[in-house]
Amino acid sequence: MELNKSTRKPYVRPVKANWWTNKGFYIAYMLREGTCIPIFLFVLELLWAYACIACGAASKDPMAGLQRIMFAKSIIQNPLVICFNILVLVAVVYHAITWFNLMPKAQRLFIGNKLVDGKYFVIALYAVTILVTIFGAICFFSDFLWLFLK
Amino acid sequence: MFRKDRSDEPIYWGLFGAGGMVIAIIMPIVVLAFIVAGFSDGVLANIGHIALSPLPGIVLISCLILCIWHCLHRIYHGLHDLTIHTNIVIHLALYGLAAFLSLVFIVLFILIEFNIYDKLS
Repeated sequence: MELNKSTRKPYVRPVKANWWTNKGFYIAYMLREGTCIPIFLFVLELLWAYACIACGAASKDPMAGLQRIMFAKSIIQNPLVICFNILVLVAVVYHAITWFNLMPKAQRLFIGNKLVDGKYFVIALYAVTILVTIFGAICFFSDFLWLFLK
Repeated sequence: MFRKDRSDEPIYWGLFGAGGMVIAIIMPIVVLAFIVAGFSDGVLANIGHIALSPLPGIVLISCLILCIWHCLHRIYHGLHDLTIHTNIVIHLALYGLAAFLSLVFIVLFILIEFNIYDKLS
């Protein structure tokens, strides 16, 4: 490999770190990539809450399950954390929309020898998301739904 | 990483893809649930009961671990867009952090589910 190494010195045009701020398309791209930062911080927040519950489990006096869960209350019910969670929801929804729209380009789907039109793939992904959201809402908000049904 | 003729990128790309799917499909309702739990003790208790039961706990923790790998992979490649050129140190730091956080989740899961502390005391 060393023998083939080029000795020419090409000019590499310098690129500034703010190259993406001029054009809407590039800003949208960088926002899409940037969604990972609030989502990562959200996962750390959940890890913190989970560690609090584990510390609750560590106390000498074994407590009821409900009381252990309330160790996470100071984090989840902090007003700043609630505001941050709303930002995370926006980031997650933006991630989901962009992710589904580029999915047909990342993964081509064949039935037999025929290429499936990308838009059916995208519709199927949205349908799965809606089903998961309904299932999750039933699980997480079952108390509220019970009130609603009464 | 150590063999130059084979790239380790497919492993991270696979975890990135899986994490992206998890964030797109599952995380919207999870984040929404935690926003509602910010205002309601009942919903917080409900989420806690779900997250602390063994089987749903494994599912939720797997999702969060995939999210970690997705986010750190995206940050790793996003650094290039911010004209920071990645090297082996940044590589090991970011993927090492992802592996460490995954391990912390798994250890906490074991501590909670098997009541390790209660058995020791």
